[in-house]
Amino acid sequence: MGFSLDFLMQGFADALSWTNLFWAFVGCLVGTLIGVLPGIGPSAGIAILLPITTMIPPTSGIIMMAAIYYGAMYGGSTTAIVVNIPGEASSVPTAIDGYEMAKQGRAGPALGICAIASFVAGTIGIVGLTLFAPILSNVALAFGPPEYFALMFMSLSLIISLSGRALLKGLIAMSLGLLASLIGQNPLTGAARLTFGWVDLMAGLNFISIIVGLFAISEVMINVERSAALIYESRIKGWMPTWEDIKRSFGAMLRASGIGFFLGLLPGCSPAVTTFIAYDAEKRFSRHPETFGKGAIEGVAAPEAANNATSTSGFIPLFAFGLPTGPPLAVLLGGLMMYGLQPGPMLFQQNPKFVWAVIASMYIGNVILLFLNLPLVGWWARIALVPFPILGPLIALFCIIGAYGIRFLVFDVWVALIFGVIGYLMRKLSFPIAPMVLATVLAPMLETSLQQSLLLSQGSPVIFFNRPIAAVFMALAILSILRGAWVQFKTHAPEIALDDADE
Amino acid sequence: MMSQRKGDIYAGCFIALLGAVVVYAASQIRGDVEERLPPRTLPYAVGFMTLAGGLGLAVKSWRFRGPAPEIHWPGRDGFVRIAANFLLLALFVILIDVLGMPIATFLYISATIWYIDRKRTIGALVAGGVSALVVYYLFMKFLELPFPMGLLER
Amino acid sequence: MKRYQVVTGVALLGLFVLGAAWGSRSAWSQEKPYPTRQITYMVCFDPGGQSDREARRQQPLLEKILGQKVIIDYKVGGGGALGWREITKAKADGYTVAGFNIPHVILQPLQQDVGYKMEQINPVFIFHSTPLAIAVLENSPYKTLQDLIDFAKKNPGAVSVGGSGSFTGYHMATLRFEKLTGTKLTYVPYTGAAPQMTSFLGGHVTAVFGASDDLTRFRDKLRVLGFATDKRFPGFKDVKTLKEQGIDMVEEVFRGVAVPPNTPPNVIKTLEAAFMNIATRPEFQEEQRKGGFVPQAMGHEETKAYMKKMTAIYTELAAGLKKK
Repeated sequence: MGFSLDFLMQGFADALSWTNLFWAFVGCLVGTLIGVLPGIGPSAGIAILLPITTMIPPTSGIIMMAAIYYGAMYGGSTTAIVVNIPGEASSVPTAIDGYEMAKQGRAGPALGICAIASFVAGTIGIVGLTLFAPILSNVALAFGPPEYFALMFMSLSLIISLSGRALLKGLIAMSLGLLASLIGQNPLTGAARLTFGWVDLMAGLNFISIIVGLFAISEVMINVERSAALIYESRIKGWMPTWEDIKRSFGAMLRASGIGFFLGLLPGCSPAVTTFIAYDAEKRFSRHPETFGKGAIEGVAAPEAANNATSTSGFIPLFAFGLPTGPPLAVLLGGLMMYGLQPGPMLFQQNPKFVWAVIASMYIGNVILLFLNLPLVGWWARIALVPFPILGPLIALFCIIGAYGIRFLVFDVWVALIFGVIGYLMRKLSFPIAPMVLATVLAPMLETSLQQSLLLSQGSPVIFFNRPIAAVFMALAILSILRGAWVQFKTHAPEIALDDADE
Repeated sequence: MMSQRKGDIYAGCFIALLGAVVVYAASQIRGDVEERLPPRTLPYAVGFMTLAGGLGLAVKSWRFRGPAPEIHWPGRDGFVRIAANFLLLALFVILIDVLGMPIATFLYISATIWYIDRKRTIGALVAGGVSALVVYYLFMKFLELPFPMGLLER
Repeated sequence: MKRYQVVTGVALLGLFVLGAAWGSRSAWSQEKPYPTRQITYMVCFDPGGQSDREARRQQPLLEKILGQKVIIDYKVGGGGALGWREITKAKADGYTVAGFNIPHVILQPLQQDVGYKMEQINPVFIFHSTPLAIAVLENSPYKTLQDLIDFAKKNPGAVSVGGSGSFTGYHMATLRFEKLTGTKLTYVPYTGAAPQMTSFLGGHVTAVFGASDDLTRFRDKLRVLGFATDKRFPGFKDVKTLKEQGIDMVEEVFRGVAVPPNTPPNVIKTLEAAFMNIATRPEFQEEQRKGGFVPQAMGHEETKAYMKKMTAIYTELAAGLKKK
């Protein structure tokens, strides 16, 4: 399954046929739509199209499904930037600086940088997929439960830098986030806890409801309260990113692509985790970390790039072993199997024409997406010009559709409304919201991997330190915690809790 | 108006109380299967963390003496606006299953826009109608999302 | 001008309330021709899983046979329990059907109150099964089942066995295996079959109880030591069953569809016939076999009897588990 230029060229020849080009375009279009709309994620989007496998040839079918998947990554942060609704957890870091930029009248450049960062990262991801697939495919297997626990623990320590100066409030927000995800059945044993005998709580609180409530519904309430005429008042400063913007964020795109690409090889390491890590890494790397949270364009580029690189590198374990790294790729795997194609090393030997056509189509798909998304930027940014009395209810409607669309239960919508109230109070009392979301996202994986590791080690925590990969992550986590504690201690912040946190 | 100090004290106490409730609830969890990580451990840990965090915040704010920033709570009319909007939203959620998504959407959007800005009667109706059509054709017909049809069924 | 606005507004709000009152009048039920409108097919596990793939495969065929649109709806959570609670509460008119699988559907309410009772599950049809088998990696030192058992006997708890979830077929298989061989293993649950197989291929657990379709997919990377079936599994003809090796256990996951309790008999008949039509098509069965499934075609009554039998077996097993 090694790389060969001949195969790739043949792949391009196949991918550029009119039929395949057409289906790639359809996939990109549907993907963009799904990315922007609430209530439907890439997994459901691709799943709806599975029966189409009976009608179109395998190569076109898989090209289209793949395009839906990476296409959805392009549009995913649109609502996060323009109206502060992150449709999924991976867009939360984008919302932090993206919405700030929008408030400063730079929604256009923020959206433009998103499209460019997605394109750069997507292309880097495919180059990596083309050249290094065989070498990297084993990374997925190197991660067992202890490694996942260490990685999740390290990610949780990011809360220290996400909380800004309000460390205590950040930690409280983290506890609340962990609490929210503990409710319901234990992901492994299925034993119910903290449900207070309420059967509706058994399946737990879905984090989409939580995010939609905390961010979007509370945002609407804040604007309703001050009877705003516009969601944010600002003079628009340009529709497109300037060369200066691109230059400033280009390094961030490359670094985040790298992070996203490697983490994307790990099954279960969702884009939500990688985007947070990439955002934090960029904040630490930056010479102006204080601009983060106040509309730094690198803070938009980094998570977007990480998101797309993650989704692309997920194809490596999928093609190499038939291991899906997340739900959308699981559906894609289902598509492959419905065509009777068995992913794995044999796929490259038996169906090289097919594999390379799909890979080549991904280069083309990214170009299509760039040209599809850039012209839309101005239109999306103009949404903010809609008078708030009209826009506000529409945002709320989108929230409801998004929450209802998770599994079509009204229960999830009520959860979103309740978290809307919680989010409103948190904003008023200046509690940071991002740590809560991060904790909610990480908790299930943290818990399962801890439980599995302790089973494997027969109860000994040494397992996290005597395996090299796990040990490195644990060391990073501990260093990051110590550093945070030291900074707190040294600066003698008079009352951290009373400081303004990032809103 | 309330100073941030007072707000933090109240919030801290409330969060501590929540933590205490969780600790109590955790003590009620029974474990059937013999496990390395007993089912009570994590809920206990998070419960105590919440309790400690809440108390910490309350105490820290209590001891704070200095120029505290104000929290801008809504005035009376602001509060009424929020409450009314929230009620409309809740009514919408109730009506989804009763009337079906498209009709409930039309009513919610029209009523809310009209409530926020009385001058926009026609605009409210048009926006409501367009939203209902988008919900029906884009989400329910094109994307095949199984939202309830309610009264429009068959 | 102003009065006109207020009047319109009041009228609007009035409509809102009126609508609520009108809509809450529930529809009366009667023997009706079936089906006359679109059917919702609930999938209770993640998109891309076995249940979902099967539903997607059946969807176009069902639409053709029943002459109505079939929409797939995901109700995922609680190891399937969330969706199964929904189906027992749905309107008993046949317009909502749900995929289910044995033993999950039986084991969930045995563990705790999950909001539905086993008797409320009203099965229509079972279309395939995936037998479980115990397997180790290809490069593992355990060449035969006996090697593994010998090692496990000498080192209690040292052999880790991966499976998908607790209180599932995988878990029960491990427990029964322990009991019958007198060994002590460490069962490591995963959140699904995909993470289970990934961790296994990475060498993080010694062995797995895996489903036949997963084992078929990774057959060149692993060695199957024994199938928990009555007869040898067609895909692995040279692998002995556990029974042949003196361990008397059969453990299979059966997948099918169910409707709410008290669904009219004519509706069940129509659905049963539709699924029977699909399940007996040779090309459908061929696809199943290629994917590592065993095609089945069990109707309403047959499935009911089978579920009753399995419930008795699992109730006993689960009781033993709780005492520990």
